[in-house]
Amino acid sequence: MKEEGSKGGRIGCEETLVRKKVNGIGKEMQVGNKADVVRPEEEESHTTHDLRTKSAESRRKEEEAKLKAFGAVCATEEEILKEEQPARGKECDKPTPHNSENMLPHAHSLLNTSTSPTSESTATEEDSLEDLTNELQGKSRYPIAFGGFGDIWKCDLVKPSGTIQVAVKTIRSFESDNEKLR
Amino acid sequence: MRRELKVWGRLKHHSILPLYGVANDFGPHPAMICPWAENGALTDFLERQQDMLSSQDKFSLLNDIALGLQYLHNESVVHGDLTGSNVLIYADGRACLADFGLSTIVLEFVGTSYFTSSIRGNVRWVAAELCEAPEDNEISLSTECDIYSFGSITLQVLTCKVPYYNVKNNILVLGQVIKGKKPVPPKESQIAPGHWKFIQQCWLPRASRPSVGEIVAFVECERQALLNSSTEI
Repeated sequence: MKEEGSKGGRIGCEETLVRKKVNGIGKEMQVGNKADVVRPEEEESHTTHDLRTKSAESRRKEEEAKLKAFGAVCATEEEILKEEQPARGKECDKPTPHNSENMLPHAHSLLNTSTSPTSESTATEEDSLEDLTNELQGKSRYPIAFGGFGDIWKCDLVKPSGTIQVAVKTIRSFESDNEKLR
Repeated sequence: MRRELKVWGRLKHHSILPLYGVANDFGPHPAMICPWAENGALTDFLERQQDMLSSQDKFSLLNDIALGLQYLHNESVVHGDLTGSNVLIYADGRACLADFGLSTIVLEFVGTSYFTSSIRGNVRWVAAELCEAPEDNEISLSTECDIYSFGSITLQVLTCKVPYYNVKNNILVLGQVIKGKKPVPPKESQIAPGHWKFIQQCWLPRASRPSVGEIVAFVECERQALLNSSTEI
């Protein structure tokens, strides 16, 4: 994370913000509630940009924040375990460049999608991991199957382009529940 | 876990079940949204279709699976849980791989042991070394584990019976795996000696197993041979 500081005031500022969030996130993650760890920082966006760039900017920041959050979590694990995990550490501490040429593929794809802001559905073809919570319908009352790691539900995914049947796989909590009880 | 899922989201191959996205209202962990594979899991599909499947169909399935596995290994992803439950069949009969890397996710974030899930049934396909007690207590999944499981999948596809079909109880299967007893083909099945030899190579000690490239080549070669023989008739 140190190297990021040298990249200028704006990044440094962001980093502080991320760090603040990360302190909370670490705890959240340990209880297994990773669903909504980081939200887009709309107010951090530059007002000089037009709307499209702004949403892209905020989404990219969200991604950066997530990446950094993972970095922080990994770092904590390393501290606890006192183990070197070079491969993983490197990946987590990857600097997040700000020019589009060096943009992470994922962030890049988000920028590309933002050129057609109305078609959220195109993101499925990109690298992003889309939150489709609000586009699922017709959830059966009970899971349709029980897999090794969790249950499988059959739902309809409602997209502007049409409705398709999807499988929704959940991961059962196993020991994480016991940890809460301890 | 999001990072693991993101790896899955990045993978794009016709033999890999795509990850459309996640849903957050299914419990503490993000739920994974994938296309619905009409024909279900390989094990059920083979049981339903065993009388209808030709050798060509079978090698077509194996070809899909081998290509999917090759793609994963080229992307440095170990499936880690290649079983008849994690190979899904689309409506058009094509096979795709699902749930790869999930075992890693579960190990890392949920803290369950590999064996908890093994005893449930995937022990029939699992690499023997994963059932040994390692000295450092670490279970290391590797691409070679997937190769072992591919051998088991091949036996299953060619005979339409799960590995260790004659051992009903999963715990007894585990006992066989630990003793080093490999699955045997059903007596009534007419598995070609060349195919059986290939399967057994996948079950050799880790370093002696074929690479995923060799597997793809073998399956393709057999598939072509079947195609040629059928056009000659």
